[in-house]
Amino acid sequence: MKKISVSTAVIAALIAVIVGSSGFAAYKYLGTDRSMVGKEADRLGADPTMHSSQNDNVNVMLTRPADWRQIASEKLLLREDFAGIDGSTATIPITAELARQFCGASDTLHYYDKKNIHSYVSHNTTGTAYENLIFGRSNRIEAYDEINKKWDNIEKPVRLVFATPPSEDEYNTAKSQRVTLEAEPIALDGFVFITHKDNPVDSLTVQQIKDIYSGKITNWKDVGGRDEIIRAFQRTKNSGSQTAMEELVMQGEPMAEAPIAFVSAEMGALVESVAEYENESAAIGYTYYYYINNLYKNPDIKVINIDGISPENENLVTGSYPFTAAYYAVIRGDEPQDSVYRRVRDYMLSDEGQEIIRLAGYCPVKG
Amino acid sequence: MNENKLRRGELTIKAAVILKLIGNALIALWTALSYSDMTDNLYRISRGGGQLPMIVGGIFADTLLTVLWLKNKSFHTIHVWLYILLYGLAFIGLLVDLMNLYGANALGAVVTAPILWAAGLIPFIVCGAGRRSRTKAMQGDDYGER
Repeated sequence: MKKISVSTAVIAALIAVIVGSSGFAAYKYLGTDRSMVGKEADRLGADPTMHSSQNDNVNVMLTRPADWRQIASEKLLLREDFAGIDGSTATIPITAELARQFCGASDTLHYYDKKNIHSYVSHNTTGTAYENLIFGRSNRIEAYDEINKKWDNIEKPVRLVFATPPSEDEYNTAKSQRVTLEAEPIALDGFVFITHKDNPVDSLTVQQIKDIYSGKITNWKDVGGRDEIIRAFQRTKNSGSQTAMEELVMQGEPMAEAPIAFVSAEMGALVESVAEYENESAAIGYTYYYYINNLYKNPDIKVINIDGISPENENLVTGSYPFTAAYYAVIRGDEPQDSVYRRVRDYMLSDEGQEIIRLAGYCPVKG
Repeated sequence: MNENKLRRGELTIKAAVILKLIGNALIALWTALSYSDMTDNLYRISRGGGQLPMIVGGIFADTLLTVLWLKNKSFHTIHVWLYILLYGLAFIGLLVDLMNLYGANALGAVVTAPILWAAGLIPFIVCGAGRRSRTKAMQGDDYGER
């Protein structure tokens, strides 16, 4: 038998490694399910290695504006820090824009895009966000683990909330837990009333809105519409929209009790309910202008002007639109002075931060 | 003919071949690791795909040419020219692809890849030295031995 030299054996072994590795790579590549290409994260099957959208109240893709540019001059937030941010549905784009500015998040929904925007943002709606902040509960985002080659969860206690200001109940809850809340307004938005597009009523006065929701006006004909009973939809208590309705619009005047079928737990559900209510033009509901214009579009809905004024940015800034609400950045009073979340809260009030607010499509509080 | 120098020359060529194949094996293993991830593969396919056949074909061709250095010096010569003129961009492109998927930024990958390509010239240089040594030994051109 011919003797094989050591060098020949080594060469043969190396060739075997090369062929084996290449074959393995080809096997894995050719075995990839190509039907997954282009699929969006929230439409995938129940594969536990995949993640789905965490923000189901948003039915349009979070895309950057055509004039998007990098504004942030320093990187204040790391990927894992976004797990500590919670908020309302209407403020999802604020967190999304911070993810773009600080972490280079992309706009795709594809689950194999390791920087897809939805994997940075996890807002649990206003009430839950405040509970998380007050009780120190964790929020969760997903990130791609490069070492183990799979999507994994990052969990952190909520330390920063973007939402409408805390309600009286929420302040009381915080007080009972010996927690103080520091809230700073960072953006303006219009609190709007919506109805079906076929409703002939285009404008209501402030008093008419109050009378509808206090039960004094019950028929559209009393406000210039058709002879139809008004179906006034509401949100659940302590939701951002309900708090705004009580404090900004009703201002202490009690609201009429709404039938359970007319109470929606989420903003998207309220919009769908108003759009699809069987009497179509008889329904009225309320939400935020930014939300209905940018995040949850429904072609069957229209926004009602108040006292003839529309909720455009210029009318918010001048105060001519009567129901101007603010979104706040809220932290706990015991948040350390050097904490990244306090720094981000303060940053949002800087010129750069307000420019980011403008870039995200909101009306800045400053200028 | 100086037998010792001849043997030394051939050993040098073999060492160069082994060195080159070690480099190829590392590239093949790195490629296997990268392509083992379905998420990465779907990302590549979404961008048009088609890289793997070229990568595997390139590695196989390079390995074959390397082994053929042992048979005929012409293969070494051809391989050197191919590596310098043709491989440069392809190799750099492969390294940029592999590095980008591991989170390296584009600039880092573009700077690092040429350095690694240049390091890949070492086996060629070693083989060249072995060939010269062997040629001198076969010609008896070693200052005084005729």
